[in-house]
Parts: sequence; structure tokens; C-alpha cells
Amino acid sequence: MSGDWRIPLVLLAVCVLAAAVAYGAPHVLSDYFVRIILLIALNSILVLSLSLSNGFTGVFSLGHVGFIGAGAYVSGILSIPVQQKMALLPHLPSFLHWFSLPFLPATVVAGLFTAILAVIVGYPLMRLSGYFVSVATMGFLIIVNVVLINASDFTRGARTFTGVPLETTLPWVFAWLGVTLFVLARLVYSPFGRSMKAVRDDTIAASAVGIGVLRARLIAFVIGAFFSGVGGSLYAHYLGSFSPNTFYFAMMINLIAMLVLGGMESLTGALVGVVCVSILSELLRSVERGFTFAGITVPALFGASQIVLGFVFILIMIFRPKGIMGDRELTFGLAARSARARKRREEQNA
Amino acid sequence: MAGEATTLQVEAATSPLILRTRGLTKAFRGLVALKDHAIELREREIMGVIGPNGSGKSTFFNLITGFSKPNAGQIEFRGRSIIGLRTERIVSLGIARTFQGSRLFPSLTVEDNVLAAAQLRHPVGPLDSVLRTARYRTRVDKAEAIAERLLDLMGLTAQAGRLASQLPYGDQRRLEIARALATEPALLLLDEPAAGLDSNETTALVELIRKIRDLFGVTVVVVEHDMDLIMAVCERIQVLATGEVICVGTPEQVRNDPRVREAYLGHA
Ligand SMILES: Nc1ncnc2c1ncn2[C@@H]1O[C@H](COP(=O)(O)OP(=O)(O)OP(=O)(O)O)[C@@H](O)[C@H]1O
Ligand SMILES: [Mg+2]
Repeated sequence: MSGDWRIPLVLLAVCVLAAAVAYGAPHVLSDYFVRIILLIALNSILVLSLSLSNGFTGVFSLGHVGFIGAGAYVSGILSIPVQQKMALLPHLPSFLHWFSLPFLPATVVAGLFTAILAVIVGYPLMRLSGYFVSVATMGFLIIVNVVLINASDFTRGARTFTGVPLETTLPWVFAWLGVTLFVLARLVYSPFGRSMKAVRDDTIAASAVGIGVLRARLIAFVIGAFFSGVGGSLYAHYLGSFSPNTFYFAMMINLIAMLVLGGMESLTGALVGVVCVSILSELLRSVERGFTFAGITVPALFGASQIVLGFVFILIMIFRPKGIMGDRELTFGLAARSARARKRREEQNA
Repeated sequence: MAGEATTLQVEAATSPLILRTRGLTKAFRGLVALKDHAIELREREIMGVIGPNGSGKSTFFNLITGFSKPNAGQIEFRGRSIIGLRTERIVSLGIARTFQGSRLFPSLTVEDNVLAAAQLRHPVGPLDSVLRTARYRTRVDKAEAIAERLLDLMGLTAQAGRLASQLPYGDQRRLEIARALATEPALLLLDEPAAGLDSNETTALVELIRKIRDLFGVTVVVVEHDMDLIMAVCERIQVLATGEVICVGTPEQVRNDPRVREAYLGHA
């Protein structure tokens, strides 16, 4: 694929811009805005990790938050400083007391842990289709929550898990978002991605052309779970302290809403969904505190933001049922067509 | 024309067996859809399977391709039993099919529909895809070359970039055949390929099926209600009625067989 010569330039420009924002924003913007940028990037990783199974493979999982939670706790347990571990988690198996991992390895281990978990969970569950797999994966989320609450030697149970070093900075999140986008883009737009979409469209036709339905689903599920685990680790190191219910239904609904609104058959759609929902809910949140504009005072209307957000969701689903982006990617005219498609078009024009 | 058919027949009778079923039986909760079925297919022959609605033709295809498991009987493909194998495995051994009423990947383009099948013989795993290895490039190129050739053969090149779901019905049927061929089969099973086609398209389909056999050397089994197509293209025909084989022979023999008339009239 000779491709478009502008693409490397644009990618370079995007990287430079991202680096500038990552390192410059904290000096220029208030903490509030830095936090919003960071959460948008972090949620993008999570929503992208969801899109692989839910959007591209047609396995609508409601369980990914279980992987996020597992990743957060695994990374947290691994990275609490050794001096504090004894005090915070006295009943931890002793080999875990002896060491603590830096941020990067702890994050990678969290991702690998959730990937292995996804193999075990996915092997039976990926045989299911439609809402059966949704309900079953939701069952997995509930099990993870119960395990986190009851494995108190590891997790402090329902009490707050604390002591995780606050290391999730903009550069880290942007770097992981870059890795996630890179890996997913190459997967989705490859023969393997084509198999995933074939499985999504019609499992019977897919097996009739030799595609292993279970294999394709399992791989999508496991790779998604890896990035969910990574995102969970980033979350843990962003919050510092959290509890099992941090990673439960509220987060699941939030992520699913972002995914579905943005368009779950598109990677940039997932990003658009995260950005739109995040910005909209922040705007509405500041409006609902009440404000005065041109002499008119609007009183505080707490809860109004949720109602408006709910209406926006309903409207988008009515007018764009496949999400804002549907299955198209935002490419700004770049790489919109493969080299082959361009050639074909030129031949037709000639 | 008649002479040509006879020579092919003689040739076919001497060429090796590709598929053999014996005692093949399938029941759905008491309803026997296929009973004690037996067939012998030779390399490069074009065989028709006909019968009234519900006589077990699609069931026969579903059993061979592993979509459903027989209650009894044997299926041998090139001398080895394929009973119990998963569909993907059977396809990779060399059996491809189309579906009654067509089953494309609607959200994929025409070209991607064929590529999804062509990549069976030129596989790239997820790791190759992420790393874009040298192997990735060569295999993708090979699959693309196959897809290009098949789309050309089917006259679908101009439609390559359109969504499969946006194609006119006749084109969809040809696309499904192209997709099946992209798996590089030795045995091609076509389930009612002429359904919904007009008479011009049906005539073209007769030529196309012959051309496919000659170009790719495949054995073709055609299940069809359109008797003109069956009589024109098939060298041998098997007739099913309520799950049982009632007659096998040349188009001429089948046309004149009283049991066949009875089966059709009895159900009419
Ligand atoms: N999955 C199934 N469950 C229950 N019954 C089935 C199933 N598949 C087929 N049958 C029944 O088995 C019988 C044979 O069906 P089959 O589809 O093989 O017929 P056919 O010869 O292909 O008919 P047609 O010409 O209408 O396509 C029918 O009575 C049908 O209702
Ligand atoms: Mg049928």
C-alpha cells in the first residue's frame, strides 16, 4: 500500500500537537480543564477497547467494566509502595509484599491479567450471540464486583482501596491512547478486521467461507479486554483511591452511551462519542448550578443536566440510529480510500 | 451439444470420486427431513438435485457442510470422513456453498465480501496485521488478486466498492458464487442459484456454471426448482421426495421417469 504521502506528515503533526498539549496544557490551562482533557483521553481508551467486540465483531458485551475494575485493582495492588502495603493490605500473600512495580510494568501486567481473564471468560461466552452474550457478560461484571468486595485480603473489600501513586498524567494517557488507536486501527482495517465484521454481519455465512466464528470473537474480546485492563490501571493511578463500585453499572452505562452515540462501527466514532458526551455533560453541569445572563437569572436546577443528556441520547438514536459517525471514519479526506480503490476510480474515470 | 454432454459424461464416469454419502439420515423432532440418502459425485461433474419443497435438498447441503449433524450415515470427501468436523474445517478441505435466498455480508463492500473468503487460503493473523510483516503484504496481495479475478469473471468489477446490500438481486446471487469460489473449493454447492432471476439472467447462469467448472475444475451440485436450468446444465440429476432418493440419472432418464412425475404431481 503506497498510500497517501500526506498521511505520515499528518500523523507526525498530530503527535507533535498531542505532545504539546500533554506537556503544555498543565502550564496554560486550569486544573479543571486539564482534568477534562485527561478524562476524555482516558475514557477514549476504554470506549475504544469496547468497540472491538461490541462494534466491530457484533458481540455486545456489558462486561468490559469488569475488566477495567480487575485491571485497576491488579495494578493498584502491584504499585502501592512497599512501605505502605503492609499497613493497607496486611493479609496479602507475602510474595506481593516484597515488591512494588513502577507504573508502566504494573499497567502492562494489569492488561495481560485481564486478557487472560478474557480468554477464560470468553471461551464459553463467545459461543453466545445477541442479547444472550450481553446478559452473560453483565453476569461477569456482577461476579467481578462481588469478588472485589469479598476478596478483602487483596482489595480491602467494600472499603476504599487507597495508596495508589497518582501517576496518570496527560503524557501517559496520550501515549496509551496512541498505542490503543494504532493497534486497533491496524486490526480493524486488516483481513482480520474483515473477518470480525463478517462474523458481525452473519455468523453462518462467515463460517461458510471458512472463518472461525469463535476464534474471531475471542480474539476481539481478549484484545479489547487487554486495553480495558490498561485503562483500568490508568484509572487507578488517576484516582489514587477507589472502591469496587467505582467500576460498576454507572461506569458501564456511561461508556456504552459514549460508544453507541459516537457510532460503534467506527474508531473515530468512539472518540467523537467520548468528546461529545464529556463536553456536553460538563457544560450542562455548569449550567445547572444556575447563572445570570443579560440580566436574567436562571436558578439552579440540580439534576437537569441528566435529563437534558437523556433527551440528547434519545434524539441521536432517533435521527442517527447508528451513532453520530455510523460506520464511517473521520479522515478529513486523507486515506479515505485505499490505494486500490483510488486506482479503480481512476480507471473508471479514464 | 448433445454429443458434448455425452463425452463429458463418459469422462466424468471415469474420473475419481470426490464425495460419497451413504445411509445419511436427518430427523428434526420426528420429522425425517432426509432418509438413507446416498450419492456419489465425481470430479468435475455437474450434478443436479431436485425435488418438491421440503424434500430435503437444503438439509443435504447443511449436512455436508457441517451446519447440522446427521443422525446416521457417512459422508466421505475425497476418501475421508468429514462427519463431526466444524464448518470452517470442511470449507478449508475444499467444500463451498451458497445459500438459498443468499446470505451476503451486507455491511461489507462487494470486494470485501469476496476478500473475506479469499483470505482463507492466504491467512494473516492479528499479530501480522498489527506489525504489517512482509508475510502480511504478500498474502494480502494474493487474496486481492484472487478477488479481482473473480469479480472480473462475474462482471462485478464496476460494483466492487459498493455495499453488498445495495446490489441488485441478480448481482447479489453472482457475488455469492464469487465469494464461495474465493475459498478455492473442489466441490461447489449451489442452493437455488436461479431463484429470483429473470429468464435472461437464468440463461447466463447456465453458461456461468459451465464456465466455472471448466475454469476451476470444480465439481458442482445445483439444487434448483427451475427445470430449464437443471436440464440445460446438469450431466446427472438426483431426485428427492420427502427425504428419499427416488431416482438418479441423466436429464433424459429423469424427465421420462414415472416416479418423478408422480412425486411432482402428487405434491402439486
Ligand atoms: N432446522 C430445522 N428444524 C426443523 N425442521 C426443519 C429444519 N430444517 C428443515 N426442516 C424441515 O425438513 C424438511 C426438509 O427441509 P429442506 O429445507 O431440506 O427442504 P428443501 O428440499 O430444501 O425445500 P425447498 O425447496 O423449499 O428449499 C422440511 O419439512 C423442513 O420443514
Ligand atoms: Mg431448500
